[in-house]
Amino acid sequence: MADKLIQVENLKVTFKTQGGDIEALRGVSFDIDKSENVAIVGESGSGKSVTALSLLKLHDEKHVDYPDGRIIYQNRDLMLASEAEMRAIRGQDISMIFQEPMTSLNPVYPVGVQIQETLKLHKGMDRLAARKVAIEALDRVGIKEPQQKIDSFPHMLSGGQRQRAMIAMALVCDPVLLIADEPTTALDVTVQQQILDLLKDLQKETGMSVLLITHDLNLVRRFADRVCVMYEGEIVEQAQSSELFKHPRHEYTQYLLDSEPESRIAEIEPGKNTVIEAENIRVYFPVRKGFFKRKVGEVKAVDDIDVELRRGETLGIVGESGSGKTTLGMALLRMQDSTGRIRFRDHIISDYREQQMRPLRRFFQIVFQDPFSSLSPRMTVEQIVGEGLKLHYPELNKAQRYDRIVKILQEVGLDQGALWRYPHEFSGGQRQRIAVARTVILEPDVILLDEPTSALDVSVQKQVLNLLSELQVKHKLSYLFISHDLRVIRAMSHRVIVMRAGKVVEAGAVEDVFENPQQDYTRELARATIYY
Amino acid sequence: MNSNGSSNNVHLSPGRRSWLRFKANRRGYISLWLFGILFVLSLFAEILLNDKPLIVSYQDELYFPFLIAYPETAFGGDFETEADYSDAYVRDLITTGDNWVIDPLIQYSYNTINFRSELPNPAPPSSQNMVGTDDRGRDVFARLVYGFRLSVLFAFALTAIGVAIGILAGAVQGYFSGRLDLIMQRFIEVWSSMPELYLLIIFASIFQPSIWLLIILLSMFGWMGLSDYVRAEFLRGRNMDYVRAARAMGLSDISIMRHHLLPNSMTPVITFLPFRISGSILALTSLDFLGLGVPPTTPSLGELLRQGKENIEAWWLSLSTFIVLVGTLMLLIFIGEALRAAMDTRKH
Repeated sequence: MADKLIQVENLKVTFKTQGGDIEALRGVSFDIDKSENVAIVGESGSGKSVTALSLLKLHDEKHVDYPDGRIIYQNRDLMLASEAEMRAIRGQDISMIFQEPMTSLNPVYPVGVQIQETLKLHKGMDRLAARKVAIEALDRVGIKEPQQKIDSFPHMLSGGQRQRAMIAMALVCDPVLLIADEPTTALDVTVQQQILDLLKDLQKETGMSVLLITHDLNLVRRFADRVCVMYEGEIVEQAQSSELFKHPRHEYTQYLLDSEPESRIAEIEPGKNTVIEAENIRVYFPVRKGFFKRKVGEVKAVDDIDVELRRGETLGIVGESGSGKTTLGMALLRMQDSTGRIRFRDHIISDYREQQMRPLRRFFQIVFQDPFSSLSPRMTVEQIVGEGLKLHYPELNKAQRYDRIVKILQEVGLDQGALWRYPHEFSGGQRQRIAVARTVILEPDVILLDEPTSALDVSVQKQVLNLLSELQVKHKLSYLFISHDLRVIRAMSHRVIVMRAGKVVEAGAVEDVFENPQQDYTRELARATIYY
Repeated sequence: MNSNGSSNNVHLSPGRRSWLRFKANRRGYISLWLFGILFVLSLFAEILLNDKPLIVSYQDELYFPFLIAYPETAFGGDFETEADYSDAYVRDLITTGDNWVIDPLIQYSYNTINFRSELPNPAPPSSQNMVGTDDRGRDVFARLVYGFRLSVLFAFALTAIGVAIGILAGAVQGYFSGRLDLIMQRFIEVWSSMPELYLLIIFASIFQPSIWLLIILLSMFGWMGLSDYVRAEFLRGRNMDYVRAARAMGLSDISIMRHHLLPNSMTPVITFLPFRISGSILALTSLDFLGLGVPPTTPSLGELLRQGKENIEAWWLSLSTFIVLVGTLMLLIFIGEALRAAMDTRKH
């Protein structure tokens, strides 16, 4: 047992709420060896982050109770350790990096100062020595020009650089254990890969252990030596990584592995049933400077793109954040000013004014990424789904409207009881179903799906994708499917456009682009996500 | 997965659920009842506290003196002026023989002077005047009831106008933003730096002071604090996905503002509502206290407080007004607290 770094035995955590206690962890046991990568995988609410925070006792004492359990570290039970003892361990022996690098770095201090703070605190270094070590640390995590970047404020760095700075901060005191709580979720796919590679390299170099918390099974396959699968506050399966992926024993693990999106591409009717045809779409945002707001340049968010969308077809638009894929989608639906020609059926909608667009609006609908902000929290589901009906089908009376709402809710898999309730009473997947119901009820031709599954758990993601393709077949819908997740795009799209910095890098049928990418950038993207 | 959360309160309408949330706050619920009863009673103050009888039967004919002014001659008196029903002679005329009278509960109105008092004014509480009289011999209890009614009505009117203008201005600024927002924001800055109190003093000397003038003057300035909050909420809300979804649906600007942004921007409005109402009551009281408020004969809590200050030994003046004021403000704030919980749809 000598090589066990930390042992967690029968850990139980309850949250004290006004409505009674909630059991977040019901007896979790695992251990981490020295220089081992352990991953905890689970969906949101499974208790994986609670476990991570418990190791450092970072929970608010007022709201959290530890009824049972021991955390053995260096022959000591951390559950019995005082707050002062814990402070000595945090950042020094065990450090942590978080999901959102923008909010976990303090925006009013340069990153260097934040790194030096840890050094001063734990190692008692003076300012100059700390600065030197901080520059070395930034260099080690692969930040170029660390001499200059040390004085940068967090907002001046890109997402990947911020996460690197966070890692530098966490590693600067040479911890024996690094807890990484969803370290890559907020990052673009290609950057995700770089960060994970970096973690792995650093781990080899320093011999520390890493506890990786994630919802993404793919990450784990590459990264972890051992995997713990969590479900509703319990570890349901624990195995060596290679073993787990080959022979998942627990049914929940099998379910998770099963919920990788499968190909759901429906046949398109033959013939040229073009719904939307757009040529030379451009969206430039002026950059203004100075007192008189003089135009000094332009950001080319969408630069000269042609799009054609047929009836019943799904066009995938792929790209990293900031590549202009959402802007392009919005421009096609005339939700964003653009130049170029857009034709919808017999209408040249690029020439239409807002007044003329309004009656056509029902043919173009949008499903947004975040199902929590896309539904008005003060409206009931009936109001949300029925609102568009009232506007575009004024001839319906109340009973007819009600019937249609109930029918569409059934179609998306919600029962009649949902009508009176408010969005916050539903889970993320159910909310996304409501958002889909709101659009499909108008019998649109085109639906813009803006990352419709990125905010959802993998198993829910699959359900929503299945629902979308069922609806597509049934109503002959055309989808503009925006996503950064190539697996989802591949499962859903007939054709795909790969975008980078406002330009189309590669376009074509989905098999061609994925099987035989012509451009380096596409190849890099494909490598980062698909490796089966 | 779909059954998650659908177990209880399925068939309750949104309004009904808000009411249940309101009721769950016991203190606010009781306060609402108390305040409601007091306010409704005060609305019928003319029937409860009046120096004129409710019904007089004189020579088999019915008269309603609290509604209609009858000359004394109607009851066989001598003068063409309105009958003084507290006068012993008139009372004699309408009570002898088959004639009868139904009197209000308390036979003082807010400006009835008790000439029969044996004590100098202001007189302490006695069997004639249960909370004593003020320095002109008027019944303090009657003045408190009428003053309470006026204060509350004034506060409701002022709050309603202020909230309406505030929401409208804030909504337009926040939703359309840009140049319009900029211009209105500058206007608000200029307008809010006007010295309100001096304007009131100046207007009080130019015009005949009246309750309507006060409402207009105070409304002109009262909306600005609120519009800032509503503007901020609209600015935040207009970029939310549900607003973009509504635009994608083809809804008009007005409809988006009313159905999507307004309900989600009500938090500051509801939060400040009780404070605005109590603030309005206090504004009227302090203006009356300073003598800048309503005309002298109008029953007002502020005027009673001033009398209390001038007659410091007449404890019944200041103490009773103090209790009424504090009680009213407290009830309103408790109600506001419960209202806030009721409007929060996210609370179970």
